[in-house]
Amino acid sequence: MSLLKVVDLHTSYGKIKALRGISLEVNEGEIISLIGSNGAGKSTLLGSITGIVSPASGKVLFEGKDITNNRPNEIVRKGISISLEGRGILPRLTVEENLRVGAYSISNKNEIKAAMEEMYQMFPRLAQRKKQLAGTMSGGEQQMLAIARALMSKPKLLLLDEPSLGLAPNLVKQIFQMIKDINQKGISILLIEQNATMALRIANRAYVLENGIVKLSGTTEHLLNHSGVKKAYLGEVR
Amino acid sequence: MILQQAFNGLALGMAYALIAVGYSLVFGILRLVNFSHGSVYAFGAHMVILFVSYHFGLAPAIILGVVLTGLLGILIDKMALSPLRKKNSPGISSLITTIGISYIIQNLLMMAFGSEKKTFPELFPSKMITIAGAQVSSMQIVMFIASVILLLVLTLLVKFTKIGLAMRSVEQSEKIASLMGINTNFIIAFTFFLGGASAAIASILISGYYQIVYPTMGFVVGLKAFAAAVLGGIGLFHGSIVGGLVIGVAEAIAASLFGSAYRDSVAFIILILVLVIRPAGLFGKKGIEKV
Repeated sequence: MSLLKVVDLHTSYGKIKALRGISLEVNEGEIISLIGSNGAGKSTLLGSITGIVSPASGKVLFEGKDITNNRPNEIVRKGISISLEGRGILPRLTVEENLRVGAYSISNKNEIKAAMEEMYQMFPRLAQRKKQLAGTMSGGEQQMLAIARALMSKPKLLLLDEPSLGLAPNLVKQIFQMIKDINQKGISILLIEQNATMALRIANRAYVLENGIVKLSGTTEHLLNHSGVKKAYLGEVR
Repeated sequence: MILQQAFNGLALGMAYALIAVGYSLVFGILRLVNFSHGSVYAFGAHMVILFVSYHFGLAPAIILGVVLTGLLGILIDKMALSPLRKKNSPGISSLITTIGISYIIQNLLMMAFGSEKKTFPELFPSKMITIAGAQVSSMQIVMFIASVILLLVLTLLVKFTKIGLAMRSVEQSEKIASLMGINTNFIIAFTFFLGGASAAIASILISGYYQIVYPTMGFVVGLKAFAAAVLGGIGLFHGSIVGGLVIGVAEAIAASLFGSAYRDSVAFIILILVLVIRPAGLFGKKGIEKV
């Protein structure tokens, strides 16, 4: 049932303790949101799950197996994929090459081709821009490419790092609809967002991170009505 | 006369280009100028004379020499450079390390082979051919063609293969490449192998032409090839090729006009002139430096 399990994770950069004992869980089929302000430890947590930074202590379990301190390329092969925030695409590769890089862990050529067709159907804008250098696209298109590229490796769990960052409101809606669609296909999602309202509406459960610890967690209904969350993250509530 | 020197320069320049590509490969992927490259070049030719002296036959000796030099490239990275990267040490530490490695290789070659000049075997019985009144040796033609083929193979490899795609990804961001499932350590090792192997091939071609090898033979050639890489825009394949040709031809022409004692400074005079006008090199663009 539990796909990803993070147990009492501590991660430091030199003397700065970025994560001070984080535990969370993503079950199969869920969308889990992780909200928190800048510096709360969201990116460090993602880095620790994907193997970019090595935690000082604690464990990351995926499908029951310990993947703590595995290298990032091994973690992709196990079925965790990440869509990076902002300019996480490779700007001097074409759209198609970026997708191919996303499918690097897959060796079957037909499978890659099929996945690419699927992505072009899901994101028609990318199909129009196949041969264009990714760095020359608009912010929204780059975000779509980042998500499409992450899906190319056929993940069981998709990590989304700030997918709405810097996008116009109508694009944000579109992206969130896509996240729902992706989840419908059976891919579990861990969503990191500053746009707390949207993040809480879309998720099954959520965690609130503050100063490297989980301050609050629970169902989204519960958090949407929590007075502290309302005040700190949701702003005015209608 | 000019045509004669142009032919001489083109053959030599293409071989410079092959060495220059080694600088560009490593620079592209690590943003590091690998100053051990000249000694790696010298190592290649010495391995060939070693295996020839043990009666391996010329062709097997060449293959072994090229492979071993490629492996030396990997060894340099694994032993000295990769540990520095793991500790996030500043780029200048790696740079100094490559200079140190260069001298270590040179001294090891001196210990094993002696510092005197040794003859390199003739690759094949060379003949002189007359083209439009200029004398060209068949060795020069082979040197030119072999370099062109190798540069073509390298270009195709980087542009159109899966491993080439991985190399270009690591070049843009090692972190993103690893998050996409690329084993970046392997790609970096592979790049060092390609750099070392291409230096060895250039070394065999040039040594086959001059028929002389010695432990410090890579010093000036290495600097000239580095100049060629910077001249064209370091990190760029086509830049290295044009840079190599420009320097090879200019050097040959200068040697005939002013005497061969001055040939070595010409590469650097051209480099300085070009950099004053185009600081990023002939084909380099500003602002693609990785942050």
